[in-house]
Amino acid sequence: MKKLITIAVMLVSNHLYANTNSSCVQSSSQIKAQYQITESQQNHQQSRELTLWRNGEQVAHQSDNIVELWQHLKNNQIRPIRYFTEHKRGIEYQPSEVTGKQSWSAKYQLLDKKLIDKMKLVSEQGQGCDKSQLLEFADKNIKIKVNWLPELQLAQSIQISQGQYAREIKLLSKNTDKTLINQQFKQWDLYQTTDYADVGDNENDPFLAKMINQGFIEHGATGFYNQNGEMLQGHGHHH
Amino acid sequence: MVTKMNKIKLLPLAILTSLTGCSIDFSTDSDNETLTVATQLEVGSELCINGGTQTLSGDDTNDNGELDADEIEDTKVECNAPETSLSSEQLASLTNNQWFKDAQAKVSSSQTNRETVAKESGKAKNVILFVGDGMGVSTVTAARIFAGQLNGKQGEEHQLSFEMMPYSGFAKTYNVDAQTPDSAGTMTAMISGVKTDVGVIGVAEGVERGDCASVDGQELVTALELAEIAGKSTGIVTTARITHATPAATYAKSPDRNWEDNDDMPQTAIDAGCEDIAAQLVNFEANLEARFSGLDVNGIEVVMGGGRRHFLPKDAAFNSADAVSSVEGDRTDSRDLTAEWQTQYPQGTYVMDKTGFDAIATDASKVFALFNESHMQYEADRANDIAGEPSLSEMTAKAIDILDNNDNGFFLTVESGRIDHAHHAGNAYNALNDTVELAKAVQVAIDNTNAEETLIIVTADHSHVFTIAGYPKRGNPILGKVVPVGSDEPSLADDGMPYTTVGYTNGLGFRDLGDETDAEMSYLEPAVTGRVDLTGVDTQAPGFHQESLVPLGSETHAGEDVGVYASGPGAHLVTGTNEQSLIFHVMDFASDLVSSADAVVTE
Ligand SMILES: [Zn+2]
Repeated sequence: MKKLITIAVMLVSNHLYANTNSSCVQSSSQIKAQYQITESQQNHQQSRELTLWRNGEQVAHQSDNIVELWQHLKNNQIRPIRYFTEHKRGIEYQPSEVTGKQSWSAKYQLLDKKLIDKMKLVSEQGQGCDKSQLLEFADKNIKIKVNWLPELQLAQSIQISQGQYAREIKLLSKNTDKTLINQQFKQWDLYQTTDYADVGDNENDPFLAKMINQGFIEHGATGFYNQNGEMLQGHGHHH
Repeated sequence: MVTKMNKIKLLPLAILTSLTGCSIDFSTDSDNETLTVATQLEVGSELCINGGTQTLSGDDTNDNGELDADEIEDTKVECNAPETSLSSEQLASLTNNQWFKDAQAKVSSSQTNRETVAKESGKAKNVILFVGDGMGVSTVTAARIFAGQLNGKQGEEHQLSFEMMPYSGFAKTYNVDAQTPDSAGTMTAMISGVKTDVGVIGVAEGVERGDCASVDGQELVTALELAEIAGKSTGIVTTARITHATPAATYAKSPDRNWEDNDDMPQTAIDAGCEDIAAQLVNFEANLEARFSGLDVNGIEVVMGGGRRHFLPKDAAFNSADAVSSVEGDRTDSRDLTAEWQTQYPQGTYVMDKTGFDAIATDASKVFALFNESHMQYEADRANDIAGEPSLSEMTAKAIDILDNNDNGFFLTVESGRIDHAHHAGNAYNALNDTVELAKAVQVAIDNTNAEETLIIVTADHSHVFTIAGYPKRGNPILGKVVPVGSDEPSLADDGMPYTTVGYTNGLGFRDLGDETDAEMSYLEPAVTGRVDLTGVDTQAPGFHQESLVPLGSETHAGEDVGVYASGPGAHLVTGTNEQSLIFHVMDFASDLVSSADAVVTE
């Protein structure tokens, strides 16, 4: 059994990083993917939607009123911008204002590349851009099942269970229409933005005054996972 | 002198009291001899600070020829009169003390400074104004300790370069319409000598913020403009965007500090003829010449800072190699102001990175340097910049090298623009580290100019709600938790948790943007109210953000006075507590800015 697993992992790596179909990669770098996220704990269940947008070196996670956008810089740093769609405003952060280590892949494909690397390939089907793989990972805390589209570097579904808590992320639709995607990123780019560093000096701006006085408590639906399968999330402090 | 003291045994006080309280008159016993013993009291003794004599007397009731303790009936103390002069022995405890010696030497050097400072007007050929944006008194104190500790000292005894300047005073920072000010109103006061409203640049209080038409007749003249007219070389250096409030107040007139490029302005303001701040910088020479008839100036020699986005069109084709945003430029009028500048000054050097900076010749005629799309990096983050940036002290050295080629002298403003931003974020580390870099830049200026002909002023535009609190022991790390005198363990508050020495009255409060990936998203989190258990937290780490009391999305400016430090001709005028607008008048007095400029205009 052990030998089989090793071989399977090698196959995954080969497929992911050696034999990637270039036309698929191209279409995967500009994509709009709509997901439904369902969380359940005992009898409680709630659902929300999250749209993953990719545009080359930019990734956005869009939820109801908030878009978290990340730009992958030449020096591998990640620069976040937060758009408030209702206000058509944005706050631009500097990489140093966030933190040292950031995972681009966790934002780009919802799952950290290192997590995908260590998952077990259970089965595989389809061809070319439609090829899909069933990947699994389990340790004593967490169980993750992923239906993975390796050529698109996109998750078709993610199921995570952690004791009583379960979370399912389902791909509802995907769209690779370049015009649509370019337009969306352009629209966000036209929003009036303010540097995070400049917020404090703008108490005369009603939008920023609200931010100064009350902070922004609206949260994005961002849900993505680090190499240990732990969710990186905006609410609650993990200490 | 009778020396029978050794025979007198000390009795417990109770017995002495009962003896003196006794009404039996022993003196009527005529058989006994009366003895008197006098003792000399030393200088500094408990009974007589200047020494004296103690006389004990009583009957020798046991006839042993000695005055025993239980025979004392009368005690007289006669103290010497106060000394009419101090001997060196009497002062030895003072004069051998280092604190005493240091302060004594300081008095003598202050006296010399007072005698030698050039008190006549017009003696300062050069003027350099350093502004630490948001560098309040508590920031200076904490940065001094921080710098000292970085040098391996305890810290408190350290002095930043500008703290060693011979003159200092306080500036009242309020704006005409605001108790707690902002950089726009305060820098306008310092650079033009007129206090004005919050948020407006280079215009008097008659203006209405954001109203283009209201600028008419409110435009002020700045020290930089006067120096330019007077034929001096001029320079502006900042780590903020060059269009940001503080640097902008030296060259622009705008009813709103945020009108940094055309896209930041309402169309009505553009239609009414108002010009964005970036355009005013590039058109500085033409605008100034248009204001005074027959005037011919040669423009600002040195401009260094961030803010490239306000000079470039919103078109990815104009992105520089240093771009962070997908489209670097913000201008929607298709103008490339960097190209316009180059056309205006074909001999000038435009640079955008560290390599370009290093290549600037010291005899360069004009330099326009925009090192970042927005603000330049915090000093601690410079290594993370894509194309590389010089430090504030490097920019200051280069600017002086270029500006001092003019025999008429120069006027230079240097701003450390990001002390303010670090404080707004509730991050003391970067605020202090950038203040230390400012002190380094001031030292560079002192080292590279002639003190006899250069007035250097160092000040802040306003303060921040930054505090140094608790009872930490001497030498305790300034960014650490409070460890009390005589202990190695942090003090615990009433909630059983340790606390840091430095903190903020308001703002986002605790966050620890360390290397942990879990904290990745914490920038999005709401303000943390109340206390956090810091037991296992490294509060000295650059990513640590101090606790705050009032939960706000951004820490705020504070309204108390700021320090003003000065050296060189006219520096003696920096003394006492004054309106911030005094700073312009000190510079004008020292360098005859108004009269020299007036002589040129009325020629
Ligand atoms: Zn500020």
